[in-house]
Parts: sequence; structure tokens; C-alpha cells
Amino acid sequence: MLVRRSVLLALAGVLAAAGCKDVEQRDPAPVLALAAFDRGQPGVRAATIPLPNDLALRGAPYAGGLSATFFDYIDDGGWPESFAEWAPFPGIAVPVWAQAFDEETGAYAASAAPTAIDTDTITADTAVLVRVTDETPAPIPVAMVQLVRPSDAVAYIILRPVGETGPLTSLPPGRYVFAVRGGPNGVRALFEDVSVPLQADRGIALIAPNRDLSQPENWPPRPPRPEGVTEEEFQAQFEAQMNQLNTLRLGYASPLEWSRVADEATCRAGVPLPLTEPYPGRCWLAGPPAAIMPAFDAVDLAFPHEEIASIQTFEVVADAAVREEVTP
Amino acid sequence: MKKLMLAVLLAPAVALASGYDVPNVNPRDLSMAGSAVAAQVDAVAAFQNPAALSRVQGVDVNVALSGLFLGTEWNGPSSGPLAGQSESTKFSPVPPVSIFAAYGWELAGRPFGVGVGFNVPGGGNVFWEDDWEGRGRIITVDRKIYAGYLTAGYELIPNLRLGGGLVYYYGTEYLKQGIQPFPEGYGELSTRGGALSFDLSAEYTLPTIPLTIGADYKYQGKMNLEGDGKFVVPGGTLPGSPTPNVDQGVEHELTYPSVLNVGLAYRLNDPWLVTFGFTWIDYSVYTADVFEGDRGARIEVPRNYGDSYVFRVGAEYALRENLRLRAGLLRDISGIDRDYASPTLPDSNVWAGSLGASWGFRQNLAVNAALFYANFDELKATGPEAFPGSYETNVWIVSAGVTWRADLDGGGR
Repeated sequence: MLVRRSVLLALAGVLAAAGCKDVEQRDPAPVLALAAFDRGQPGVRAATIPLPNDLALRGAPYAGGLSATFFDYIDDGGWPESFAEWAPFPGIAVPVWAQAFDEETGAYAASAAPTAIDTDTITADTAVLVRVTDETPAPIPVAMVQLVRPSDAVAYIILRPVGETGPLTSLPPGRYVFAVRGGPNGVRALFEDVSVPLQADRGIALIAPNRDLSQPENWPPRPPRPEGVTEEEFQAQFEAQMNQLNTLRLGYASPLEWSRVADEATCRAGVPLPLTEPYPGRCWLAGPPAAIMPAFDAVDLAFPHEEIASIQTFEVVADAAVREEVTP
Repeated sequence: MKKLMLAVLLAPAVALASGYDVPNVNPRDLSMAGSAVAAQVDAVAAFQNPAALSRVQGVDVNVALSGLFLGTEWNGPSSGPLAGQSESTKFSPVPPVSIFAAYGWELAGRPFGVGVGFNVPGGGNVFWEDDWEGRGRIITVDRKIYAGYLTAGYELIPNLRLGGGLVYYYGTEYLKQGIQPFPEGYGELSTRGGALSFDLSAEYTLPTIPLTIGADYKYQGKMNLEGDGKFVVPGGTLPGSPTPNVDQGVEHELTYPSVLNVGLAYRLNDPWLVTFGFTWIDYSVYTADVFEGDRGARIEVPRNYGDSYVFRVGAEYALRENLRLRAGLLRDISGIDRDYASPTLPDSNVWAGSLGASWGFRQNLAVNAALFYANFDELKATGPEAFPGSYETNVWIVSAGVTWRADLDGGGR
């Protein structure tokens, strides 16, 4: 009897061990709060403020293709808040938009932006500003100044260094990296009473792991092919997008090298420099020394760069006559 | 429901024979490399050749447990970003079982036997490290095809036996795949479901020479597996795509292919029995794995398999009345298409050898054991769909069990 029971127990054990692991579904997050990566995102305001990411997406600056408007903004005195359009935003702006899950379509669609930010979640571990041109770069504490919500579609988290009251251009000259942390350990957005973690949107999410996106094995699953586009065309578009993102990734993972755009007089002083196409009368000045701390490394001073929700790079210049450009 | 297709994603399978077949782990059959289709002597005939159930006398019970150890080593191609990389699957044994019972008596004056049983004729067992280079193709495949049998055999006329019955296939699978480029990103699914099928078999012993011919055909089982899928990806990748990687119910139609086994058993002399077998497996039905989600996801993994063929030979030697030694050898020609080779299914042509023995230590009780080793030919993946590199796979199976029956004198009447 004992033997028979032991055999049965052993068999039951074997069969249990042979079973497959269960997977449990979770309900989709009802709403997502995403830090806008580029101005072309649906639901975000018209593309008038070029974020550094936009520049990088265009392969800037050496590949050209920057709008003259951008230089005009720079002419206004610096990046980014001193544009007339940004006058109400005295600090670094992080655009945030939202997507809500639609049970009927089974997909996310644009929805109203968050109504507030949980300021308790903005700490030295979740928002970082680093002047990477310092000999020993260190995080500069920042705090949220306000949340600007010009429409239902987008909200701007405005942050600035603690203790600073002037525009960003009043910061000590140098090159800066700014980032906000997303995910479960990051900043949280509020939709009325519902607290939602801020997350990177697709572009930053894809580059934040810092994987070589020129390699197909590191690509994400390809989206479905739209009707009217051939397989070859769609694949080419997808590969181009991955290569573009890889360029951006390299920009953040490599030592930052800004180049300066100067007017014709400056360009022609001393050894003539080649003009910058397609902007007659302007040229790139020689870049500064390389080996400035990479943006991802700067972020790592505060939190793992894999958890970036938003990242921006900019330069504050002492000589307003010289236009500044950033890469990425 | 929207139907979407991803070029890359969850894929299944693996095993240690063609496609996702698993050998019959009953020690006697395993030790003769599955060649004993025409030499069934006990309750395992309910699976291997039900016609032979008519040779069972009285009650016969055969229970075996086994341990299956499958290992695959992947080596990156000689050039390119994966050059110099290598990875081995994690040690993850599985325990296929073989449990059969039969009862034989005379019906209308002719020998008749019925049998029931359970085994694991198919499955996959691949466990790569979570962060390996091919995580975007697959991390884990844990598939099991269980089968239950209710079959019978009848000696229609002297020397001619016919058999057949019902087969119920039940598949379970758990698949996990990394979603690149996110180190923590993955998709996983777990599904299960079954299908009813049937078996037909025959056996004929020549009256003038000690040669038996046997054949067994099992029709395919088209299983509709249902379960759940889960995706862990950054939220920012969810919008803007009509394929939301959100958790959802999943269906997968998986066909366990039709199988035809033909065998010869020749009694050379009193101690020696020699067996030959040929197996055809209709793996051309394995064109793709398609997973349909109830929230719009559709994942299709092309397979493009062709039919598989296995050639088998075995021998049994009665060293003493209560001690039998066995050996076997097989060559498995896989239907895999190298252009679609992937780490989800490190399949290839196989050479395999086996050894085993039975010892009857009581009048009605015997213990059986077998050791089986399979070495897969090196598979070099080619083509744009394949994960580049080469795969070397080998499998060990150890099996042990007991046979209890009223008549241990050879199983015949």
C-alpha cells in the first residue's frame, strides 16, 4: 500500500513538473504619460520649438538641413526659453502628452495631457542637470517651477536650477545635459487623482538602452505595413528609421562636440572657413576639444540612463554674437 | 479583429528528433531506437502498434519514467557583429513518461486485446539565457504534446492482426522572447488545448519464416491552443502602432503531424531478434506558427518544413531467460528548411544510438532501462530569415521502468 501510494505521488510530482508555466494577463494601463521626444508627435503643439532631439534626428549639424528659423531663435539669446514664444516658460521645458487605451479598438489614442505633476517625485534622483564642460561635472539640483498647459493636448513641465531666478542664459556659460527619469522610479504625472509614471516616448525609449541599432538583431518588432506601401519600401523606411535613431544614440553615448555657427564677418576673419550650406553667409567654427562627458554618462551621475524619459542638451554662451548649435 | 504581422516574434518548437517529435521513452523501444514496430510484446503496443495488443495475455502494465537532457550550442558566424559570439542552452531536463496498461483475452475464439496509455510524443525544451545575443528571437520554448490512447487489437485470422483506436493529443506551450532593444523587454505566452485523432495498425507474421511485418498510422491532431499573452515593453512603444503590445488572449493552431511507422522483426535464432523500422512524419503541415491575439496582435513565424524520415535498426539478445540486452541505431532526416533556421528550433538531421536491458526478477515483474544518445548534424543557418550562426545539438535520454504482467514468457500466446 505504501509503495503504491509512493508511486502515485511520484507520478503526480513528475506530471506537475512537466506542466508549463502559466502567464497571467494584466489590464492595459488606462493612460500613459509620455515625454515628447520630437515635435512631430501627434497631439503635441505645432513644431516651432526645435528640441535638440529634432536636430539630431536630422543628422545635424554637419549634414545641414537646419531651419533658418532655428538660428533666429538662437539669435534671440540662447536656448531655449528666451525665444519670444517661450517667454512665459522661464526654464527647461519638458513637453508631456498622454495616450489612453481604447478598449474598442484595442489601441492607444491621444488623450488629455496630465493636469499636474507630483512634485514630490522630482528629486535629485529623478531630474538632473549637469554642466559637462566642468572639469569635474556634477549634478545641479533642479526643481519644478510650474506646469504650463496651453491646451488639452500637451503640458510642459518647466524646471530650473534651484536658486536660479533668471532665464537659462543667466547660467554660467558651458554645455549642459538635462534629463528627467521615467518609469517606476521616476517622475509621476497626475491625471486628476490618478498618478501615472512619466515614460519616454518611442524615440528615446529605443535609444536609452544604448544598443547598436544598426544591427537588425537589436531592432524592435517591425510595425505592420500600411496598405499601399510595398514590402520593400516599408522595410527600407524601417531600416532608415533605425539608422537615424542609431545616429541619435551615438550622439548621446559619445563625447559631446558642439560646433558653432558664425556670421560671415567672423567666418572671413583670419583663415577663411567654408560656408555652411544651405545658409549663405554662415559657417561652422572649429569645434571645441572633444572628450567632453557623453550625455548618457552625465545622466548616470543621477540615475541610470536606461530610465531616461526626456533628455536635452544645450549650451549657454557668453558671446551672444556667436550662434550655438548642439549635437545631438 | 485586426490582423497584424510581425516579422520577428514569438516562435516555437524544439525537440530531439524531426520537428518537435520526442522518441518513445519506453525502455524497450528506446533501447532499440524505436525500431520494434513489428516486435511489440507488452502494453506499449497500445501506442506503438495496437494490432499487437492481440498478443497480450491477461493483464499487462508498463510504466516508465525518463530524463531528457537537450543541449544546444550556438556559435556566431565568422564575420559580422555576431562573430566570435557563442552561447549554450541552460541545463533543463524534462521527464517524459510512458504509462500503459493492456488486457488480452479471446473474443469470438480469436485473440483480442485492449490498451490504454499515456505518453509524450512531442515537445520542445530550449532555455537560453535571458540576455543572450539571440534573445530577440527566443529565450524559452517549453512545449509538451501529451497523448492518451484507447486502442485495441484483434487477430482476424491466424498471423494477421489488425488494430486501431482513438488518440487524444493535448498540447501545452510556454514561450518567451526578448523584445529588442530593451534589456528588460519581453513577450511571453502560455497556451493549451487538445485534439482527437485516430490510429490504424496491422501486423502480419509470415507462416514459413520467423518474420513479422508491422505498420502503424496515426492521423494528425490539429490542436487549437488557447491561453494568455503578456508583453513587458516601455510604455512609449505602445502608441502609434496598430499592434499594441498589450496583454491579450492568444490562440495558436498547432498540428501534430500524421505519422506512419513500418517495421520488420526477424527472429534470427532463439536468442536473437533483429528489427528494422521506417518512419514518415508529415511535417510538411508545419508551414508556420501563427499566434492570433484577441486584441489585434497577429504573430506569424514561418517554418516551411518538409516531411521527415527516420530509418531505424535494433536488436534484442536474450542472454539468459530473465535477462535481455538491446541496442539500436537510427538516422533521422529532418524536414527543416535552413533558410528558416532559428534558435527556437535547433533541428537537424540526427544520428542516434541506444542501449538497454531488461531483467525479470520475479515471475511477473521485470525492470527495464535504456540509454539513448542523439547527435544532431551541425546546422548552419542561411538566408535572411534565419538567425545567423551554427547550431550543435545533442540529446541524452535515460529511461527506466517496470513491466508487470501475468505472463512474462515472451508476451505471445
